[in-house]
Amino acid sequence: MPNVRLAARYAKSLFDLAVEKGELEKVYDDMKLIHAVCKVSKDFVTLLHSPIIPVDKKEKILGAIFKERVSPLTGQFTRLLVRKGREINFPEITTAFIEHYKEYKGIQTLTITTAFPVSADVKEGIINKVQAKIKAKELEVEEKVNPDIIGGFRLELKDYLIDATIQSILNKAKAELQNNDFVFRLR
Amino acid sequence: MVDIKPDEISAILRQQLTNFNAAAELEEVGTVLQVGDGIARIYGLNNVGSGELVEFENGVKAIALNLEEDNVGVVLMGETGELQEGSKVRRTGQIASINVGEGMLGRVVNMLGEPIDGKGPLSGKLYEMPIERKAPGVIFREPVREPLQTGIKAIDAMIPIGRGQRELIIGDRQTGKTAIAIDTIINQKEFFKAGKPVYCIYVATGQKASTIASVMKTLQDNGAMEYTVIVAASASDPAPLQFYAPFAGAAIGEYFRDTGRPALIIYDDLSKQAVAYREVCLLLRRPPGREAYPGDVFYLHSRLLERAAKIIGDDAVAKNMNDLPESIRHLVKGGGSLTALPMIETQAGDVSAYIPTNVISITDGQIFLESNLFNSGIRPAINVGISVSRVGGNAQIKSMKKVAGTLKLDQALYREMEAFSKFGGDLDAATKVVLDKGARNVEILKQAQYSPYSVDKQVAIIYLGTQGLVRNVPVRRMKEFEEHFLMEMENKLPEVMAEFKKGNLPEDGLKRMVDLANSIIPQYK
Repeated sequence: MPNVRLAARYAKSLFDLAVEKGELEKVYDDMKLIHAVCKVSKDFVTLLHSPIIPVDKKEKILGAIFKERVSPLTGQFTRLLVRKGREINFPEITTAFIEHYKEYKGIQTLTITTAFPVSADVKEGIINKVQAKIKAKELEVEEKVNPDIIGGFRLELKDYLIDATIQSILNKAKAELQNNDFVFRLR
Repeated sequence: MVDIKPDEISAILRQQLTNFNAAAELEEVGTVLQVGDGIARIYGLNNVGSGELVEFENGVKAIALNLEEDNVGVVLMGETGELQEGSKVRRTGQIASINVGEGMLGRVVNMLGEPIDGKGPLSGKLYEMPIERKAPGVIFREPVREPLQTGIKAIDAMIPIGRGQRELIIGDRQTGKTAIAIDTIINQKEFFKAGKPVYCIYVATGQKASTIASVMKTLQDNGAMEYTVIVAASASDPAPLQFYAPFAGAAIGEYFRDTGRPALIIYDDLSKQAVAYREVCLLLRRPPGREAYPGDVFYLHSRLLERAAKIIGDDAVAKNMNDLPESIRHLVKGGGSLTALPMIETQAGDVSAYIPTNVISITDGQIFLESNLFNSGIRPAINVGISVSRVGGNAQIKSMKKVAGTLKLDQALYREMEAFSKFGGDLDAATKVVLDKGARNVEILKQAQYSPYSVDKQVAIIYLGTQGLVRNVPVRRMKEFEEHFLMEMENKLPEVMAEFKKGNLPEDGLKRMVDLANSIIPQYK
C-alpha cells in the first residue's frame, strides 16, 4: 500500500526548504522529471524497490542518473531518502510534492478522458465551462485517450468526477435491465 | 418459458427504459489504495460520512467504517475479485439500507435484502429502511404486557416472554437452542390463522448453509414460512455480511413494528456475529480488547437489542417517533412490537466469558439450556433454576399465572430434595409428596420438537401437575396420560378450554376437568 502519510511528510519538508532557499520552481521541475521517469521506466521503480541492491550502490546509481539534471537540493534529498531506506516511497513523494505545489499555487488539474483525441475548440469549450464553475487561479489540463469508453467524455477534478461516457451509460442500462422482475412474471 | 408475444417484450423494455436515466451527474470519487481480506482502503472520498454506502466500478457495494487522517477504511459487501489498486470508488450519499415489504414473507434474503432462494425478485411495494437506526425513545414505548406464546410449556409457564421483550437463549452447542426458536415460530401459526399474525424473522448469522436450508424446510413443512422471513448470512459469506445480517433483520422487524403489528426476531447466533465483527475490526486495525474483541462490541449488541420494543398504543404519539424513515412515515401506527430472541453459544457451559456476560446483562432475562439435562432426556433442556424472565410475568394471561405460580418454586424444592433422597433411607411423607409431584411435573414439562402446545392445553395439564392430581399415574406413563387427557378435554370440554384461553379459571370448569382426569387415571396403573 502506498504510504500517503510518509510521502506527505517528506514532501512537505523538501517543499519548505525549497521555499526558504528560493528554489521552489527548480525543485518542482526536478520532481516532475523524477515523477515522469518513475512513470515511464518500470525498471527504475523496480530498482528502487529491490532489496538486493545495496544502499551505497543505489545512491551511486541515483547520483549517476540525476546528477547532471537536477538541482543540488534535490540531489541531497535523494541521498537522504536512500540513507533513510525510503527510496521505495520515492514515486509517492514526488506525487505528494507536486500536489503540495499545486495547492500552494492554487493550480487545479482537470483530467479529460475521451475515446479519440478531441479538437482544440471542443477542449476549449469544456475548459471554459469548468473554469466558469470553479474559478480556479490556474487550470492545468491533462488529456487522456482511452478507446474503452467508446464515446463521450469523462472529467475528473480532485475528488469529483463527471462521467458522460458511452461505457458508463451502457453499464447503467445493463444494470437497469438486469434488475427486473418481468422475466419472473412471464415465466 | 411460456410463449411471449413480441409486443409484450417491447412493452417491458419500454417500461424499463423509461426509468432509465442516462444523464451524467457530478460524482465524488476516491481511489483504491489497497484491497484484501474483505476490506479496502480508499484515498480521497474526502466528504464521505461514517456508515455511508460507497460503490465500486464493478457494482460491489461497501460501507465506510473507518475515517482516518489519510484514508478511508471500507468493508466490502461482495467479492473482492475484480477490484485492484487504483480503481475508482464512488460515494452514493446514502446510508446502508434494505428494502422491506410484505413481499418478503416466505422468502430467504441476504443482508442486502436480495432474495437468495431462487424464487425471483420480491413482489409488492418495498420501503427503504436503514440498517442502522436508533431505537425508539422512552416516550414511544410501553411496558411489556401482552404474552408472546412460545408453545413450550416450560417457557410459557415459568419463564414467560412478553411482546417487546428481549429474552436470551443461551447454552452449549447441541442443546436445542435453535429448536426452541423454531418451535416458537411454528407456534405463531395459530395466531396467523386467527388473522392476528406475529411476523417472524429468523436471522442466521455464520450458520452452516445446510442448517439454514433445514430450518427453511422445517418451517415450510409446518406451514410457518407464510409469515416468516429468513435473513441468511452463512459461514461462507464475507464477514461484513455476517455481522450486518442481524441489523438487516432488525430493519425488517422494525417495518412490522412501526406499522402497528407484532413481530418476533430470532438472532441465531450473536456469538458468531461478534466473531465476524471482531474479524472486521482487527483487519481495520482497531485496537483489540478483552478476548481480542474491539472496545465497542458491547455497543454492537446493545444497540441491536435495544431496537426490540413495545410501541405506545397511541397513534398520534407513535407518528412522532424518533428516526422514522421517510418511506414508512405515512404508514406508522402505534401498538406494534418487536420481540427479540437472541442466542448465544457458550463453550463448555462457560457463561462468564465476555460475550455471554455482555448479552445477559443487555437482555430482559435468559433461558439456560444445559447439555447434561439434554443428555438425561429432559428436552427442552431448560435449567429452570437459573433461567429468568425479568418482565414477562406481567405478560402472562391470568389463568396461566394462577396455575403456574407455584411451579417454579415447586421444581426448585424438588431438585433440592431429589439430590438429598439419593442417599437413600426412609423419607417422611411430606418429602415424598414433593418428590412425587416434582417427578411428574418434570415429565409434564418435557415436550417433543415441533409440537407446540396452545395455552389452554398448557393450563389444563399444568393445573393437574401443580395440584398433585396425577400422583396416581406412574411417572413413566405420564406422557401417554397427558396426550389422552388433552384429547379428551378437547372433545368433551371445549367450552372450558375456551375459558382457559381467555384467561379465566371458572370454578365449575375446573371441577369438571378434574372429574374427567379422575375418570381417565385408573386406566394408567
